[in-house]
Amino acid sequence: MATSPSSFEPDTTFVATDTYEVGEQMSMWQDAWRRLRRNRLALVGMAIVTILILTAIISAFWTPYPVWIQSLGPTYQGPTAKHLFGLDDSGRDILSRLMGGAQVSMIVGVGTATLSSIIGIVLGLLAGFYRGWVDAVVSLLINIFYGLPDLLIVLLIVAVTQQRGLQNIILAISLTAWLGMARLVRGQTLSLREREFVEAARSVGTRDVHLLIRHIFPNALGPIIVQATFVIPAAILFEAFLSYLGFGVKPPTPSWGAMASEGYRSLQFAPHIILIPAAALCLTLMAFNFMGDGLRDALDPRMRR
Amino acid sequence: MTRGTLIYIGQRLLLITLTALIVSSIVFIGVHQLPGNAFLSERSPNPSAEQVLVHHYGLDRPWPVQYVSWLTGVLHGDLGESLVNRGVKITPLVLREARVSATLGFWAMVFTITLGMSLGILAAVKQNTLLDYVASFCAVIGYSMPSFVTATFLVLLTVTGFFAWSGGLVYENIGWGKPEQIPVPAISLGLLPSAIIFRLTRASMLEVIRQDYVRTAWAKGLRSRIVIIRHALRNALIPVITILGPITTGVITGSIVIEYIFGIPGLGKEFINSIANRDYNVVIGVFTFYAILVGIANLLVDLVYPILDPRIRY
Amino acid sequence: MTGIRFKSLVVTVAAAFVAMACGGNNTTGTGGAELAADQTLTIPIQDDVQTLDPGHVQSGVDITFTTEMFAGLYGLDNSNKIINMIATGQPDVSSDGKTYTFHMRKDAKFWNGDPIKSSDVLYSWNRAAALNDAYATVFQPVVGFDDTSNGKTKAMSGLSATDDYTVKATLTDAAGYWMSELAIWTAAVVSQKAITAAGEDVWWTKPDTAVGAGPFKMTERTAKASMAFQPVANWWGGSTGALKNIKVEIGVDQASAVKKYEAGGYDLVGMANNGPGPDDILRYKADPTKQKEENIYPAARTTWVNFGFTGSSPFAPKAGITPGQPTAGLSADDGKSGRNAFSLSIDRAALVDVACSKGATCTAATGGLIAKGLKGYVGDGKDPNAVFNASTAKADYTKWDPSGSKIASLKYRYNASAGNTKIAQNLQSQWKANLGINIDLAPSDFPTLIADRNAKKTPLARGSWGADYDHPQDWFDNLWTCDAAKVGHGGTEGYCNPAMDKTLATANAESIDKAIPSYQQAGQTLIDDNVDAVLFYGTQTYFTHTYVQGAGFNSLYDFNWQGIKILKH
Repeated sequence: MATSPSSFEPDTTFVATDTYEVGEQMSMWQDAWRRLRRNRLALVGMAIVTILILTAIISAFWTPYPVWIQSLGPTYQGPTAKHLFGLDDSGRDILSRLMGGAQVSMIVGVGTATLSSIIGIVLGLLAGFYRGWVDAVVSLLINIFYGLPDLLIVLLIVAVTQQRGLQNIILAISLTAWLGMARLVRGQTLSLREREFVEAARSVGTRDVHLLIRHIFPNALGPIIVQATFVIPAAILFEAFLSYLGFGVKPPTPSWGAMASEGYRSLQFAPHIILIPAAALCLTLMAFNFMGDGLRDALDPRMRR
Repeated sequence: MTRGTLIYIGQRLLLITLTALIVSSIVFIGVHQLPGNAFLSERSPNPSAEQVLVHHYGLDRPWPVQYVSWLTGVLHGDLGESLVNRGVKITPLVLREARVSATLGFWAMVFTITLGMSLGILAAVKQNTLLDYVASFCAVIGYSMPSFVTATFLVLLTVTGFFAWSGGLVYENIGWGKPEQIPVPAISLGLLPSAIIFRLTRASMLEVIRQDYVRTAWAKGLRSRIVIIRHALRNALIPVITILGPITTGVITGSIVIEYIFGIPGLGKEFINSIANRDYNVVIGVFTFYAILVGIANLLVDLVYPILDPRIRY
Repeated sequence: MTGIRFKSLVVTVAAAFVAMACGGNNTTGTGGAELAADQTLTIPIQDDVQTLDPGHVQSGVDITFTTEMFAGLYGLDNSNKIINMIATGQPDVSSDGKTYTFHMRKDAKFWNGDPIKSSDVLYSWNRAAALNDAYATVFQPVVGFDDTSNGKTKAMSGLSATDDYTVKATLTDAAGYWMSELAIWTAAVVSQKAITAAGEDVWWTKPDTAVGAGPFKMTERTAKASMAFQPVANWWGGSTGALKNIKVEIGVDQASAVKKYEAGGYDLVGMANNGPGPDDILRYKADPTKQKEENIYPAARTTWVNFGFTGSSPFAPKAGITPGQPTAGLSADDGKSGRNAFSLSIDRAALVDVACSKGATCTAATGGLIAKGLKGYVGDGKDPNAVFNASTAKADYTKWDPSGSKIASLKYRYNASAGNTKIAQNLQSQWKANLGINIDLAPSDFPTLIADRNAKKTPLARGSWGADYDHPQDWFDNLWTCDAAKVGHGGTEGYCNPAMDKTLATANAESIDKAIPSYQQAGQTLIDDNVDAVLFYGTQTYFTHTYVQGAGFNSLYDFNWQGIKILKH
């Protein structure tokens, strides 16, 4: 996706080194974890993400007040003892809606990352491995959609299908997010297929599918994980944009973007309505970005000692 | 301009045309399959009046015929007529609004590149100092803030803040048309991309500077430092130029939301409004325009490469 | 030394501040009746006009400008009373009420100097009928309207010109409401010369060819950007008032409009159906210094929850009624408890508080479907269905739908806008809290909603009507007759009461004063049958600087530009 920082890294950054072998996998992960632990920012990021996931799970079962109930008190009321984050413009409890919004953000983030990764990985593997016309088609697809503003495409899909709801949003965003992953995996596959271990496996008669899944894919796993981690905040950001513009999830399902949109108009006399979801959004995005940075540094083979 | 370059340009233009065609036809078809139309009103609908309008816009023809006629129009530069505001031709509308969006986008890019690159170079040269840490941290915050959040803070700061501090004398006039109305939306739009440019410039500069021969020359003294910076810059800028393409796309995308917030009469706002009003002719027209615009922007960026790196040739 | 320098700097700067604050914008204009030198009125509107062609105009925004640019035989003054424009007086009406003879002024002219004759009136009225757009029904009473509106004839046979300044109209039946209809813009006179020369679609878009007979003319227009109007010199109708220029900025959203208004960029916000947003309205209401700039006018618009009476709607009196068949006077009404439940479970006070800026942008409806202040209003508190009673509502609901199957696929349909979304969400929340049921919201754009409503496919939807003229016929004939209940017509409930139709037909023929009791009785019938859950009556809010005088809203339309003046400020 155009605004994801990781997709700007040139493909060559992640070329596996010569000493890379399948057997070293265990120690690579251990080594990566050690390095990650030393990165304080990444740890903070992971902590915040954990809190977020917990909140999302809890909110599925309990919130201080139901997220949809209105007129709990005077509309636009600021934080009080009964309502820690105050009430919004319809008199709904902001804390409860914040928790519900966490659920939406997590579902969209993880869902998009999963779906777009699957599409991108499959297409990237096929294009990089078989080359020829498969690669030509996939590359053409990538080039066409690469040059288009993704917000426009997503807006169009959402507006044209006129369907609201999480599945459609995840689908719409994934349709633009798979590009980065496909490009990455394609580049990885293209270089990995020339390695000796692939030649060796082939000479023994290993089937293509087995090669792809058991040999090539695991060796590209590091960069794939990093890329997927960066898709999550991009997807959350996207959903916030959509909700802000009014094309997001169906009300009264809370979404941080929708809450920010509703709060913008009362900025001058009830700033808490927009500031709180905006802060939550920024914190979440920052946490994922720190985490992704940490993961990238930890998994970067060139930094291994 | 070598023959190779011309061929390359030709291929890219072909790709742009293909993209625009494919994408706009998908939109066209998708939109025309939808039920209902933009012509009904709250009062007792007059089927015959509606028929007149349908006929006027040619919506009663089978859609392949409509598509061909639309395509012919596009080749002549005619994007059609608005469904909602009758009599309004889309091409002059789009061009006028594109100028507004282009102005906003231009200043946002100026801000992005200036801030992002200069800070990136500084942070790389002064790696691991306080400046580096602060700048890097701010950068992460920068690309974690959706543009509408940035816009909110800026508006809060300028409209409410300045207004209160100066006792009503300084006032951020939200809108468009005067030069003083450009900075706030441009900064809101350009902040997130500038954080990305910052990080990439810094990383890229670091890679070049870290090489041994540079370190040696560096240790030798101030004068050569400046020479080294200039030399390193050229190579360091290449990856940055790479993403200027997607950055431009991102700015174009982001301008949609920014125009919406600040009420700027540009292409993004038009797009949102026309979707909301079901003015599908305008939607298709704006989208086609965007596809072509982004394609050309990316092409221009790619043409800058050979200037920086003579090894690259088409 | 630096100390003295610094001090003098501070003093100078402070003096400058003081000077700036004391001079310049002094909005506490106590300048009496002294007019400002620059009589320019600048206003914002959010979306561009759809059309300014009187034969096509239907939206509130367009109406404001069209009524200033064009004039017909009659018009409306600021209190919605019918006044003579091109006509010299009331028409001669035959004793059976079917023949009208209009006498015209001899000095009426278009702004380009062309004189206006009876042939122009005939051309304009026949054109409007032939265009058959939303308001062509203004000429429905005239003999020959059906053929002209269907395209079979070019002119209505009931319309003729006895001489250059006399127009005769023959109606199929007596119609006491026809004069009200002639006073609105659809009956305005347009220039055949200008239209034929410039083209049907284009003539109104350019200042040179938008030829009308009204007190003002368009002097500038950039689509989706701006418009400007100026008074017509030596207007045949008399004085055009104090204003010399009206500037309209297009594409300004509500929040930005208010910000610019506060900076002095706009003289008022609210004209042409483009009022300030609910949050700003709230802010002004709470601020004692700003309250005097806020004017809240009642608007002749009612909003309700539409119940479907036909087909498979669970609210129908019996299943499977075809739209256009009677829904009243049946042996039983199986849907009544359901309609009661949905109506009684809404606390309108809470709704108005949440969705209407604490009651600033609407008032709770207690007196039936026709808005308060209009003829035919049933009376305050006369609607027992509008009273909040959660326990009765729940009991009614359990009686009506014990298993919950009736509402399984029910969705609340509405057209998406900031205000409507808030209302919809509040309704959803109240039905959930008070009835324990979950009703999904299904927003769509306006045309889709209208299409589905008119096709009688919406058992539960938002309904709303804004009066076009102060006559109950405008409401009943469009919304609640058996004819309106047919598929494709605007009676979105599908309610059909043949007995009530008979009463209405008689009332339509009578003069308004005699007819009011019949209309009120019909209104009471609608309440008794609980045809809709009436929610609230609208308001129109203006923010007006204190130096602007004469602007306002009379519940149907904006005050005329001729009465507006800008005081010295």
